[in-house]
Amino acid sequence: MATDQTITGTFVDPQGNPLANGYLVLRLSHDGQSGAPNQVVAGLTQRITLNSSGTISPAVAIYSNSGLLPANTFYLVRVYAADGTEVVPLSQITIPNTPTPVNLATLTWSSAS
Amino acid sequence: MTAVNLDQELGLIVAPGSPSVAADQSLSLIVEQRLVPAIIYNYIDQQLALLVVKRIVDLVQLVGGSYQSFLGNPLANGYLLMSLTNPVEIYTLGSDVIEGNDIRFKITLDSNGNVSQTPAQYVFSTSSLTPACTYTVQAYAADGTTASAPQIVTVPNTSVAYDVSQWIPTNPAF
Repeated sequence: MATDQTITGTFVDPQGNPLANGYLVLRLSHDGQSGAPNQVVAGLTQRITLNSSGTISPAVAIYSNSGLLPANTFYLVRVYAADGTEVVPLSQITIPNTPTPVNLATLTWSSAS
Repeated sequence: MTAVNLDQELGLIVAPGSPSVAADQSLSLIVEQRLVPAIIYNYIDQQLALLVVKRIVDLVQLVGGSYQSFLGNPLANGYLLMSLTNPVEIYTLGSDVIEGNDIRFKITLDSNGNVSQTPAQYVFSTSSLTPACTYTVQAYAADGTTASAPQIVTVPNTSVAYDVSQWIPTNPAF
């Protein structure tokens, strides 16, 4: 098994404007083992870019936290505007394996700073 | 000196009196060298026996792993560093003796993030070592970037190659 989830979502700035060409920076909290099994490493930070509407497009395949062992892993996320301004400080989200795809806006974002 | 009829790499028996190891002797000295798995025993019907045993630790081939990022990108051409977690003394099949507290292996990964098969990658089985040992293993990208936290793992002594994707990480946060 490869990735088991797909993430979507649209981001806006504090004024409600689409975060055009912004990006997310994600990192897994802990190394994990997926069901295949595969070794999913946590040390590699990844960037996910947004389109001109502030949307993750196309949707991005990812490992859900609920599909990894040990349990209770999570993702650390920061959101940036196109010019590199931090829009959302370091936050913690847990990505479930259902529903697929999952809209990041439906998840609970808690501060991780 | 008696004859040696042992299925071993090295055998030395000093037995005054009867020329047979199977005989009822009053004194014998046996030096043995056996391969792992080291089930070392002798059936001796004697009044006094001294056994000196040297264990040779086999290497186990590693395979698999499928190391990758959370987006499913393989840790292409990366590598693992595996360090034994405590000092051990290892006798190898090549008659070398390795001893110390910093015994390490560098295991290369292929383009799919699996343990390379050309050449095959080997480590000492932890279940063959005394005292009991584990490895600390950490993954690195091809450019040397640290890709994983240090994990504590074991490598069973298996007759077939061991698939490292079976390891379940137990480490704290990266």
